[in-house]
Amino acid sequence: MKKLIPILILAAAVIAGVYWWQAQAPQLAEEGPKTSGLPMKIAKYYWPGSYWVEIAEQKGWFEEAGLNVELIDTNPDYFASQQATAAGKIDSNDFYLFDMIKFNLTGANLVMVINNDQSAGAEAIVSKSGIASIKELQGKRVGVSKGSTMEYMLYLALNKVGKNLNDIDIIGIVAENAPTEFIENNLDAIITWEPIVSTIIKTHNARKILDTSHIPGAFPLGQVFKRQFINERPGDVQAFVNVWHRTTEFIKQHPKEAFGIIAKIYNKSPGEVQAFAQVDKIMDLADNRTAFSYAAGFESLHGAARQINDYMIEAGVTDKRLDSTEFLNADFIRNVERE
Amino acid sequence: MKLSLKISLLIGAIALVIIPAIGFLSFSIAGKVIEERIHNEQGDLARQTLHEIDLRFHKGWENIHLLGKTSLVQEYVEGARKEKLTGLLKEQLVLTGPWDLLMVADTEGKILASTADTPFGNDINSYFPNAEAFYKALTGTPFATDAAISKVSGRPTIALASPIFDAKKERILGVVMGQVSWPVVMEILDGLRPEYNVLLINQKGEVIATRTRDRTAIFHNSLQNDHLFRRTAARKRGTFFETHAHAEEGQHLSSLTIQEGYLKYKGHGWRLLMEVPEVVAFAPVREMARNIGLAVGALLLLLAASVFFVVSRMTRPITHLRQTMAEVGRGHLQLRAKIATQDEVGQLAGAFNQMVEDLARARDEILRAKDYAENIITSMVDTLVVLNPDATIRTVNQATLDLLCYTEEELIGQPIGRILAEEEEEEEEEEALFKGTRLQTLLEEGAVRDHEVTYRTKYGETIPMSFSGAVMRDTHDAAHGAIVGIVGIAKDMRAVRRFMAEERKQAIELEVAYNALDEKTQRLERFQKVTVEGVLETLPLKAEINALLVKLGQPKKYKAPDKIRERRDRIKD
Repeated sequence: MKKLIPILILAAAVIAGVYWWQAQAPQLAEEGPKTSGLPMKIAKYYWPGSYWVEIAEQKGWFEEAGLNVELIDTNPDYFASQQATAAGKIDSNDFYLFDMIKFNLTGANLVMVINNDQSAGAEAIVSKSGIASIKELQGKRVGVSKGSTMEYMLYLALNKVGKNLNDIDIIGIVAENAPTEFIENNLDAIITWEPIVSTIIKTHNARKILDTSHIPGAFPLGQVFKRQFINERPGDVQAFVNVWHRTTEFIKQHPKEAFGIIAKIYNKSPGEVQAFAQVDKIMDLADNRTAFSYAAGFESLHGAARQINDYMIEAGVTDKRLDSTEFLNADFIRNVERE
Repeated sequence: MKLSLKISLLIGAIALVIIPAIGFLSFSIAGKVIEERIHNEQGDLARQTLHEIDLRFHKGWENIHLLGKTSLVQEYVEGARKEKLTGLLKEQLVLTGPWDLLMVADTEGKILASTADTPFGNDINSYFPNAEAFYKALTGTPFATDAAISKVSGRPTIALASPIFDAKKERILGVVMGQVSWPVVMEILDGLRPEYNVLLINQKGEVIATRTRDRTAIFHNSLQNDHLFRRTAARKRGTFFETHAHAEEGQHLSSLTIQEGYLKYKGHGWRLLMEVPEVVAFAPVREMARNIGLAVGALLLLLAASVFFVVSRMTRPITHLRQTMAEVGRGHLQLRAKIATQDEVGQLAGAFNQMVEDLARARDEILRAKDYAENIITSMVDTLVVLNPDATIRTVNQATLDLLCYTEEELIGQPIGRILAEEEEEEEEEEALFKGTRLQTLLEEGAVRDHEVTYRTKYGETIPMSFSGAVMRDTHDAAHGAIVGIVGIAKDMRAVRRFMAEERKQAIELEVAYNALDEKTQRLERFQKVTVEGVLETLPLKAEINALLVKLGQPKKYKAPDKIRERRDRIKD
């Protein structure tokens, strides 16, 4: 045993030396963001941009990242979930950039940290069969939820053909009730989203004259948090964004399995789930890098925000020129790149 | 401790010294080179960052220049078609830039068209912090102002202006101007590693751009008193370094790089100040040193383990030899060391085996000699006592023990006086054999013979003994002849003495008988003379005399009647 003492002392000295040395080394990059372990309420919704949330949950990646995530089902009432997010009752939700800006105008103080998805045909202007183009909407009764993304879409569509909102007769409707409104109010066109679009076309012999794929980048959606949450729990947000990146990579590399998970949850076929993702493009890290760059066009969230701001000013929603750097935070996406 | 363990520990101890030494050496020797490299890298990064900013402004500069040369713009300005001009500018706002503002003014400085949401005024001074760019552009040259806060966006910007010529390029119709969106600059700074503190400052030392998160410092903080800034104030280009201490964060490495512009965009002599804690800047060096140290340490420990393994195997024959030696030392002379190798260790084992064989042979001889001696001692009838030079008993034989009723343990180491009655009783040293002058004599003469001594048994009985002794000297020390002991043999004299006493008694009795015989003979002779004839009557007396003579072993004096007759005849004669 005596013989072992010098060996043990030597080993202890070596280990102590190594530990000391490690302790002296500056921590350039930590193992990962420091999470708080506090509960985090995240909205889930049957929407391509939100697929990742439920896949990550099923895979246990939130827990692995040290996040205490509770998923809130917003399928019954997405609009109410937006209100809850603005009120701080839900910590994070997938918002249209348009909606986020609108909520911020009322003091919601939301900040987008991920560009989850980009509408690529999910929303559409559906008209009676006799109307074949946007130009033909002039003077027609068009049902749209006023001040909404749908009206913004109409604004952009009209701008494209040199028209404006004053050139048509706008009828305010609730978008979820679009098929009923379309019939009952004898509307010439409505602006709504999938799967309502497909339903109306099938059941009412309607015609899709324009969808968001014709205006790429104009309808970005992203993961938003309250600014206060970001300030108080930046580690949680970074971990959350890291999980998003991990999951979107998984979706790209294993689409069958990923869409299979969503299909099982929502009792759909994997084909349906995947088809839905065709009209709402799931954005990855590279897409986000571009989206968070400051540019004037729709390829940038800043450019898109400016267009939205232009519309809102024109529509009288606001008279303020907004600084998009205030509500688009690229830090977390940048840090994903670095990690 | 085993040799293999010693060597392994030695290597381990060397590792303990070498690991930090290598770390220190690699850090200090390579430090200068790497420090220079880090400086260069930081300088390159700063130049690259500034270049990116210059590229952005150059692109804006080109866009505004092209816009000024666009025939549509010329046409709309000449035709004062404000709406068309505004539409064109809004289109350009999305397609180029990014801009905070695009506008066209006539040569008087009156606004013809603007992308501003609400008109701020009719002249150029309402939109720009100063009209320098406008007036420069009126001279026919595109121009870019220094950074300033825009009156339209409230954000920092630079104003780019380019003249609008008529179709023949002879007359300036107006000026097209743009305010660059400042977030493009901050975005470039955001792209730098978060460890860097980074500030873009103008020639006055005012902070004009930061990372987005630090934007409150823009046009609020000034580095006029910064040592590095002041030191390089007169410089037009280059990158400069400085190391300085922060109260809380320790040493920092600062670099200041001067903007050089790109192509026709000449820049404004801005300075990009980058600051990074030295622990971060030199982290790669430290990490390298640590990794080298750890790698060397691991290698040394591996080496120690390997050496331990190899030396253990190499020294296994030695270990076996040592164990065999120990066993041989304990008397197992039949054991032999294994000869596993033919090297020196194998030869050593062979020599050892030979030595053990010789030793066994010698021991056998000694044992035989010892047995022989012991046999002699054991077989001796007389007592044997071997004394140490200090007169204590070293050895006794069985005859001694039997005679004196002691066990060997009771006598070994005891003084000789224990068994010599006279040694205790004799007060005078002169009388004792192993004391005083007699001992001296014994030692000097080397021997004593037939010295009468008295032994005393365990139970106090005294036994007269005849003692003969000799001094034993160290035969290997011939020069000094050191005394190693005294060996003595003593004979029990009790039987001899008894016999002598008996003899003395018989002699006395014989003498008395002679005397009586002689007297009777005389009386007889006298009587013969008186009673010649009465010989027959003396026969009984003669028979008595013969009996006495026979008893004394003498021949009968009186024979049978014939003898008596001869005697009678002789008497008659």
